[in-house]
Amino acid sequence: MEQDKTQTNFNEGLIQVKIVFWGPASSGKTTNLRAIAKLFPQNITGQPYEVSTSEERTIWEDYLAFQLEFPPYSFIFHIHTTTGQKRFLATREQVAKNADVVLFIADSQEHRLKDNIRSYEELIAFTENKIPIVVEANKQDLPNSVTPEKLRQDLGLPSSIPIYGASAVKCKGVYKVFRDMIRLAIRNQTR
Amino acid sequence: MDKLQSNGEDWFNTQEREEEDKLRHFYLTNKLSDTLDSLLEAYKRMLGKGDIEGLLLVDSDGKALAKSRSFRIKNAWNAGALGAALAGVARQVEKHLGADEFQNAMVMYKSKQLYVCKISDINEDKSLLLLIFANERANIGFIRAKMTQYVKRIEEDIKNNENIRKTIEISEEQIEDVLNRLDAAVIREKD
Repeated sequence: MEQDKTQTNFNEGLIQVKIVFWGPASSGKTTNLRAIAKLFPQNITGQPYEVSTSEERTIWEDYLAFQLEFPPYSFIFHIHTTTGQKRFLATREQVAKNADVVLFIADSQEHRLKDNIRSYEELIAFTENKIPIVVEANKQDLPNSVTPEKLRQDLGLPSSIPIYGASAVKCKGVYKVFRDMIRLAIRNQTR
Repeated sequence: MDKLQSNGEDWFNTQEREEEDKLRHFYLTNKLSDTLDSLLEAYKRMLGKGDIEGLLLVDSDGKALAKSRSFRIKNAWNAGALGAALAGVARQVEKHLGADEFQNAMVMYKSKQLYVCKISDINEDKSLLLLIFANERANIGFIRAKMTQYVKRIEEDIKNNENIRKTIEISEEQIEDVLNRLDAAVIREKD
């Protein structure tokens, strides 16, 4: 399941990118994955899967791969969502290994701030600033949500980390986040 | 010791939260542990080959229910989550291959073995899993064969133990809350 960067072969025109979704429990990681699947249904390669509990919480990962052609290159994006619950830390570190980019999906609702901070700090400790991060302030459609800028302050995000507002359940803003995220991932691979 | 034991039996209701890190060890020590210990004793008596580092009962959502008293793997909850995740991945493979019902999964390392065995179905969505942590010389097949004799006893123990039934039934949010309280108590004590 783990994607190795060495599989990327620019000479043969095939570029494989590993994208990881990280964030607190119920922040919308799986919903984002499903939204992306809706955006690119014709590009999905292989069989997507979700390894989840009886409450539909991810217990190992959800996975989706899709292919986009930008001649002369062909891109395969492997998207893995990690678990959100604190008790599954052991699983998400394995899933997130060798990521080219991480999308941190925060729950914008005011009362989830503590969970967002805990999960973000965990991510920073895991990536050690070696993997580019993009932040999505999800659930912007909910009345008690904070703005992306407020969330930036609360999380203490440096200006180098972009943050976007989105509502994955309504498929709003997901495309923009995704587009910029893959740009970052590709840039990171070609560095 | 008696006090700790009784708290371990009643961990959702207890108000006494001192000695939490010691209690953490006992939380998973209950009536089912006796059954797991008998299984281990039978193994030692008959074979005594290799080293069984512990038996852990979990549900397929990764909620730890009971461990053998000699359990030596650090953080039983993490170990349970990993075991359940392994079963979850195996279920995905089941779909992929068009195979029948998941039975067992085994991971072998140079010096260790992890065996995940389905004991029975709890309901339509959940099953009961036994995780066996052992060194490379242990005869897992023997334990598995022996375990079939204990299935009824385990099911009876669960039926008769309200706290274990509660653990199986509680939601992910509640379990997160319980674990957070435990963590807070452990930190308090360390301070």
